[in-house]
Amino acid sequence: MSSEVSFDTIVGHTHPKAVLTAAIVSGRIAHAYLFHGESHIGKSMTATAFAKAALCAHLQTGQVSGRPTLASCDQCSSCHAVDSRSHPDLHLIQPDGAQIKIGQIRELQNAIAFKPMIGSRKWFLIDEADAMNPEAANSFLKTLEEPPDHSTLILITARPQALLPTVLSRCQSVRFSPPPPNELSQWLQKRRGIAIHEAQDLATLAMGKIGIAAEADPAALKNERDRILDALSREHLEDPSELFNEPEELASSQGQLYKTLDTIEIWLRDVLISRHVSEPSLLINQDIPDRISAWGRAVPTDHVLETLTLIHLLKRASPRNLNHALVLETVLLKLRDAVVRESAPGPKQN
Amino acid sequence: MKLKISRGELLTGFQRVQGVVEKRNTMPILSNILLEAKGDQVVLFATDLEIGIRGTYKAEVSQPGGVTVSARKLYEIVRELPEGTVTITSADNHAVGIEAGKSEFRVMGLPPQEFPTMPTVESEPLMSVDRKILSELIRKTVFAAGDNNARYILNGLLVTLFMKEKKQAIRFVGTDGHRLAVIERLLGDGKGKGFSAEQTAIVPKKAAMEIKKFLDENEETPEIGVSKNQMIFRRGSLLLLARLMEGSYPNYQQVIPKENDKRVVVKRAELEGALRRVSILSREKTSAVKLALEPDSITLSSSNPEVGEAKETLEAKFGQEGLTTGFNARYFLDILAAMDSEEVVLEFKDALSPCLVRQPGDPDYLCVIMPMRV
Repeated sequence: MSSEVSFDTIVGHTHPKAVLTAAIVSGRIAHAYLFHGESHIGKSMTATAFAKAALCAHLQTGQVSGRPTLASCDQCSSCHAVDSRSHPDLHLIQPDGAQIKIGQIRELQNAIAFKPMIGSRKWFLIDEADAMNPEAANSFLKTLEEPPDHSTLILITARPQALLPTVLSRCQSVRFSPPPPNELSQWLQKRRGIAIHEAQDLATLAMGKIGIAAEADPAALKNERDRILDALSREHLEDPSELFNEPEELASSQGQLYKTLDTIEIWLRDVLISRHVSEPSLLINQDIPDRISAWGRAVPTDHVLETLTLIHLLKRASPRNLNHALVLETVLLKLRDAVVRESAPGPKQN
Repeated sequence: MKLKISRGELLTGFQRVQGVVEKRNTMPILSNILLEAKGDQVVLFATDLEIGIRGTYKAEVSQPGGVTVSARKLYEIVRELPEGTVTITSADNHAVGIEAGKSEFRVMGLPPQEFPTMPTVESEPLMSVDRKILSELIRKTVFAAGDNNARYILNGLLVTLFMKEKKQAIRFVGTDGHRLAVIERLLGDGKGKGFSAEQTAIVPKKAAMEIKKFLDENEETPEIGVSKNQMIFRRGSLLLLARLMEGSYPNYQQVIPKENDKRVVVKRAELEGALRRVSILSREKTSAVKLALEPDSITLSSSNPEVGEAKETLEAKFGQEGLTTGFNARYFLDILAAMDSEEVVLEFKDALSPCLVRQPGDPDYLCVIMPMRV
């Protein structure tokens, strides 16, 4: 992972950056933040840049079109320590395996009881905060309720609905959205040294997820997306053996399941756009407009909306003890109803 | 880096930091020690981010430089070496070579730049304190502080600098919620500049124990000071920095009983012996021992239905009507071990009120122990 982070190098997130800059400039940094939004779009990097700027010894403030801007100096020992991940006042908590366990929260509670070492404030970044198991979350609540002075907790999550309401209500919420496609593709062009159209394709395939676009192989991404879209094709949905085979692979793990559901969701979104807006530039799957409109023609809007609701519902469900394949089957069966009902009569009536 | 140093000097240096070298591996480099050679000395530094210990040792430096390397391994090596001179070198890839007599070792190290630094303390005013007094303050309170209390603030000692009868005084308080120890002492002879205002700090228990270890090492007079975020302890070239804890310490004054009018004086050693014996048969988890106070005796007893029971009677002039109460014997023993008078004074109110323990003739040290229903 590249080490140097700062507000300047973060793509998109204009609103979060403005909120956080204002907090530093006014000296009113909240004791707890909730950074939420899709995965892999730069929440954790923004959190690190926020802490780095606040800890920097020679913070440079400026103004661009009336708005304050901030830049960490990248020279002082504090900035160096943040970049090398060895700052004693910046702590990062990540899931240990699939969960954040109570032992990790206890360690945090021990560390937070001390005064900051070289900075003016202690920072605790809790990545994938929704992965806290119930014991950890309940124990953490105590800290969130009475945080010691000079400390800021940043909870980072793609699934805020999975957190306890008591946790949510104690954090200042900052919403993150995927960076605008043109900003992302410009950044990718520079970062990966590729042509602009390649960068645009990559941005499309990664669905605006900068963390994925920065590293992934475009061919592999395309392959993966196409495999999921193939499963939605009429032939696949009509053939029961295919229909029940796919979920085994496309939902082999929890991460894979969510990826698949995301792809289906975006596909259905594109279908609605192509039918009702007819503005191709709004499509996310920019490269296959014909396929979108062809598929969409066979499926009534009501069914698309119903399926989207179902996906939302499933995503909100607790990820624990979930049969991943079964979840995907439910979605595919729903789509099958939609696609097959509208078509010519089934084999029996023939 | 290349230097020659006597084994004894090196061993002292490593021994002093073993207590703070990180055993958990949140940051792997914290299990290392930092060596920096320059002039005619080598600086050894280790930290767990809560406590940092820096010591300077005499060495013959032929090439200045620095390196960090596993503190544990280096200590184990030096401990096994025979008396004599040890040569330490570091290569460009940060491997550390150790040569002594016919032995040669090479230990992989890391660049010194990656080692976390502690803030400098040059500007903080320090004051010298009597070594014996500081050691006593720690010894008489540290046992009462929590070890792994979920209320983390109780894992520290509350240290207050204040003026008492126009003289500088210091107070240490330790409590874990079940027992409390408070001690006040005058600092030095009362000369020197006073404190403008009362100053308080919460010092982690671990730091207090490390400081106590240094105090018991030799007779040199130490200096202490408190900055915004840390406590500083210095003795000669040895420096210990401890990060202070944050939060509000419980109002301990509230739990010191004011109306304990039933007073009994007992021989400390006798009570200690009896408690040890009787607690053998108490319930293991609670170590509950019953105290029955009679006009001229105290009877200690314990019973554990699964094992058996024990009873011992001590002579003591209570002089009032009977009172039966119960305590955790371990807490009582800790207090008795911290006291050094021949007799101790126990003050009670009733069966379910805390007991006050003092040393006769020392109004500035007191311990409180919460009762148990036995």
